[in-house]
Amino acid sequence: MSARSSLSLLLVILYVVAFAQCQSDAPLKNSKRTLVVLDTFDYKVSHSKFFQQLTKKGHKLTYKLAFDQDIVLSKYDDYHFDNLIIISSSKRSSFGGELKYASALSKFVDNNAGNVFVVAGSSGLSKPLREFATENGVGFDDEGTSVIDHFNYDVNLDTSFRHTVVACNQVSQLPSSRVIRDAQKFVTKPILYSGLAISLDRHRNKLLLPILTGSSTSYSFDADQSGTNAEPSIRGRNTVLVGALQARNGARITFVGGSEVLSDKYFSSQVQSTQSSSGNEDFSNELISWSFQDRCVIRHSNVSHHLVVPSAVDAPGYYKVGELMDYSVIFEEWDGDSRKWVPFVTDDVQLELIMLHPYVRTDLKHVADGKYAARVKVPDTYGVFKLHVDYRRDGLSHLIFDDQITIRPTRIEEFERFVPAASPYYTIMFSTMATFFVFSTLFLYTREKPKTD
Amino acid sequence: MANENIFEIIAKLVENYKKDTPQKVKLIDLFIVFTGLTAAIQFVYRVLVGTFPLNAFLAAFFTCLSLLVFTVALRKQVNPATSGEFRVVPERAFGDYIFCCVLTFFVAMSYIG
Amino acid sequence: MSLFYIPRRKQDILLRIVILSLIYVLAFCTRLFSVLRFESVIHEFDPYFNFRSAKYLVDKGWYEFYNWFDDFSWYPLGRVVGGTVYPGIQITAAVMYWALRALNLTVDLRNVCVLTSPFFASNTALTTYHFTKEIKGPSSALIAAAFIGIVPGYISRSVAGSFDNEGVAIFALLATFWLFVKSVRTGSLYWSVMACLAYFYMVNAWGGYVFIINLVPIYVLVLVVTGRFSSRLYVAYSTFYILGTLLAMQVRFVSFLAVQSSEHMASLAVFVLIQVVLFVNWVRSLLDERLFSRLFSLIVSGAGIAGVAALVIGSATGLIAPWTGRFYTMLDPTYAKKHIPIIASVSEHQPTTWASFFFDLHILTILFPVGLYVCFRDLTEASIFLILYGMLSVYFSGVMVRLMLVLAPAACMLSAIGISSTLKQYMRAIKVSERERRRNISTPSNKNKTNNVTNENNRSIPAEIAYLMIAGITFMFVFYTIHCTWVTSEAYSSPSIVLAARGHQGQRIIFDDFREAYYWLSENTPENAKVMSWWDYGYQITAMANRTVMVDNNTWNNTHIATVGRAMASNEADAYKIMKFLDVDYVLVIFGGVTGYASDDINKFLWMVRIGGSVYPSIRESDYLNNGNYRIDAGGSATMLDSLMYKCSYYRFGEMKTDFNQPAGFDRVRHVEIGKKDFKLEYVEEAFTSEHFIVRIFKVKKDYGVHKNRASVDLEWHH
Repeated sequence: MSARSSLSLLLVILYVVAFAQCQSDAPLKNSKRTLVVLDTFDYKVSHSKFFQQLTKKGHKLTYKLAFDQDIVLSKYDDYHFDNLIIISSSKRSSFGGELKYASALSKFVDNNAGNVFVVAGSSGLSKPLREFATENGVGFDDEGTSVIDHFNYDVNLDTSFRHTVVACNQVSQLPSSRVIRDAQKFVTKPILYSGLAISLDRHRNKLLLPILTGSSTSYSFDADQSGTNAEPSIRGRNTVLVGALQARNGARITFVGGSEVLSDKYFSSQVQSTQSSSGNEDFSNELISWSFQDRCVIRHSNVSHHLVVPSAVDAPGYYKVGELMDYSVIFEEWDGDSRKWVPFVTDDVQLELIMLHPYVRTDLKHVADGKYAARVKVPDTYGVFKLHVDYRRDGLSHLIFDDQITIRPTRIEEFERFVPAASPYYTIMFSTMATFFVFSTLFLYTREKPKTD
Repeated sequence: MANENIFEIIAKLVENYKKDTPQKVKLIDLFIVFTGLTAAIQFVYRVLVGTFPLNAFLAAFFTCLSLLVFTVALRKQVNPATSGEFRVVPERAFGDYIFCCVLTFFVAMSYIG
Repeated sequence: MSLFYIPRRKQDILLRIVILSLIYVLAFCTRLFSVLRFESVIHEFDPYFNFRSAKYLVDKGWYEFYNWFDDFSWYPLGRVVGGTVYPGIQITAAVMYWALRALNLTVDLRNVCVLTSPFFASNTALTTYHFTKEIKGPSSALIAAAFIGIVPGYISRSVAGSFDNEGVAIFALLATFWLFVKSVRTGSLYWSVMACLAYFYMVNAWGGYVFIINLVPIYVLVLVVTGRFSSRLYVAYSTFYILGTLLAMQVRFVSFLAVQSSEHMASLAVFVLIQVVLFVNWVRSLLDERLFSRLFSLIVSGAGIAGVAALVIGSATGLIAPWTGRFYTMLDPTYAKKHIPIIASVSEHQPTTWASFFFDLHILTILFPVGLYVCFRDLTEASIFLILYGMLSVYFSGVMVRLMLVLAPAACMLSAIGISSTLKQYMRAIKVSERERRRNISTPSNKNKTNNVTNENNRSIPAEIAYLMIAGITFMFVFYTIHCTWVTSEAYSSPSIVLAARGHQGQRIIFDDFREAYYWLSENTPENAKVMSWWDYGYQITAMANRTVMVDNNTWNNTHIATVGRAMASNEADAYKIMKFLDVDYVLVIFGGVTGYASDDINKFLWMVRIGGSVYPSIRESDYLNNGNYRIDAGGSATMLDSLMYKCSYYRFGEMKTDFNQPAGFDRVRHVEIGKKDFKLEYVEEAFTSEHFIVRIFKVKKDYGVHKNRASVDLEWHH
């Protein structure tokens, strides 16, 4: 008896705990379980500050070696991890366990909305990762190449004098202002980078965004070869050093072309050109807070729409053609530091009324505290419409939502009953009726005149 | 006599009319003329003004026309010269007439708004 | 004995009443086959919409129904039901329901709806009796009522469960005709107004009222032209036109069309004509001949010119709307096939074959000309009407199978008149010969005198021949009854929503897949889920599964149907774009390959292609055919095997063995093995397949490729 009751008590407790977990309104689950897959555990030492930053932000890190056969991401569609960091170096390295195929990563993003952070190692990128990247329109340059910039380089770390360590100190090299905030400070504290170049095919995949690009003088080439006539395929501003993909379900996939930019050595080195410390630590801080959904995650709530003048006949959600309607919605942004939702203020949100095609497009103005409102005149065509808001900006998670309303035609009794223009008809009508009445009485009571013949 | 012009024809017509038709029938004829005129006025008005409250126009116009038709029918049925074709008694004819007119008024009144 | 003595005349009436009540009950009962075999369920597709709107009317009241804007069908355009429906049958069912409720008989609305048609069929038999009595006499009337009680042409649209407009419309049609003919014969205003009210009921009930408003003017014209103009005719027709049009305008669907569309112009023209004729006659009565003819020529020329001018101006300025496609097809049957594929695709709109004429009318096809002859021989105003009605309905029923329904009453009446006069002759012959025999026995001395007299009178048909003929006619009637009952039982009593078949041991297998699938839809999908299917099933889905549909049987918007057709005919990626554009959540297809159900979507697919191709030129019918042949086996065209319809119908069908001596994936309707067997669905996933694979429902994957945005799947659909 007691065993059974204690078992049931345990089940109840487990159920309650699970239920409570689901109720949390953080964008991710309360704990950030992160799996770090490394080629060797040397990375734990060489990138210790990076991992410390992660832990400070609340990640629970689990370290596994790449070829470890018991890497398990999920069991029965229940994922054990929310984030995945992979630092991989050579193309010969293989993955074990569930990561053997690139599709595992795709499923991780699709089914779990998990963030993936891919870092190419010092000597390249392994094959499954390259496949995964290409699937998303991200192309890493070949093994052995690196980013070279003969004008913005750093000599402190570059032992080969081939200018493979580039220093990024221009604001234009940080094009996504939401991902890396306050790019101005990197002018005086440049970001040092060395590694592969990435090309983002933004025509094929509109979800990609570059985070750190090379300057207009950088290019990617095989560092050993010199003096050839071949043209580098990735050059100029198209050289992306750190790129990302914002998935539709909120997940973020980040691609870093070289692991050095996150290493302790680069964090603490001094930049020759500006005589200051490198900005890598700040850069890494900003990057991981964005990549793991601590920032720039927005949501909507409290959509309400109703007639300005309440109607006696219509149910909520039903509008008459041509009437005025009030619409309001609250946008909120997740603040990873204080771990709560704060109002999100912007000035470029639009509301559309769509029935196969948009009929009305109007601005949603910010009223107070993250609440946006608009007064819309409902179109003159009846039908089933969607109140559609589509807010997709670089760096922010996608916010597309719609609510269905019905716009009905005018009811018969809502038309004017008696029109002044028709008054002659009314008079004729009544006069006819009167005459008829008179006539019939006369008819009944007329006596036939005797025929005079 | 072959070249009598139209005015003389009409004068002859009128004379025959006055002579042959009984009093009740004349009354009916008056009513017929009245409704006919009203209908014509309405039609002209509508042509001039346009069709906006089309239902009002149609209701009033059709009322006039239907009264016209009913009254002509009544005339036929009441006039002893022509009632031989019918199988109804004149009183019944009048009763039918009232019924029809009232029904028409009902329908038209509901439609005119 | 004196207690049971009934005088001769009363005997007549008693007999008539008994016969009529028997016919009344019989007409009702013969339509109950499907209720007894299956259950009291509504059949087919269109009745489901009528049922749903009747339910709406009963639940919400008249004002809500009159103003009803249905946002559940034709997503996202919606449908203004109040203005696009003929509310007659819904009002009738609602009134009966309320009447029964007022008597505290709590009947379910569905049962009232199911049994409305048989009830009105009995009423039609009564009306036919009265109508034929007007024309000929009570004996023909009785035969006519008996015929129409069981004629298959009428039963097909009025079985229990077929809750469709025609069920009440035929009753209204015959009532209007009867009352009109009666008013022409009596010239009374009262009957004319009654005819108008019956016409009003008809306009409420069915779009086929156009037939009445054109037949009656033609009849009047014929009478005037053949010199049978009389004041009675004037009274009857003028009242009918004026009051009838005024009443017709009260129906929202018709409103101003009653004076503006070409279909009503004939009645207006004849109305004007009859006024003119009356006026002319009146003037003639006041003048003498010579003066009159001068005046006459003046008037006629003036009126003729004015009339023609008005017509020309009206048509040219567009004031008079041209004939709508549906009715234009009657005049030019090939019009629809060329220009409006939707009208041509409905199976009821195909021309009638000889076989269907015989099937639906049996001996009436032979007796019809006999009746015509008799009507011509005893020409009266009423019989002219019947002749015209018969001839016109023969023409129209040849154009469309659906209009066999309009021919059936005419055929019954004419045949009844024909056979009744024939029977009368033989009966008279028997009676006369009986009398003769009796007389011969009683007074042999007067033989010579009476012989001469009787010989002159009755054309000497011997009694034996008479008996033989009567026996023959009786056999004919018996065969007619057997045929009608057999047809009703086998052909017209299947509720298409429940299918039945015989297993190999002869046991009855019921396929209830449709209702199973609709029930699944209503229980397992969100309330505002949108279902895309071909328009045949729209009414059923809204009525039974209670979900929003894209297109339904009303087929009022050709472009929307063409968009759906294009989605069904495109490959998965293109179809996905269209489905996202339309906000589709589920796709529903009907597939008969496992059961052998022949009216499935693959058989209708070419119509989808044609209708889609009529609006979107990129869909070409030739792409889906292989050398002009429509095939779905390995020789089928690549576009066909790639289309969404193919994939949805045959998903995982290649793993199924339908017959023990055929390979897996053998389609039992097309009798071939399907072409593409192992394929995966990328953009939709299977949600539900009914027990016998008849209904298959697929869910559209909303977030396809969360992180993929391949250029080949451009998710914004550009037209």
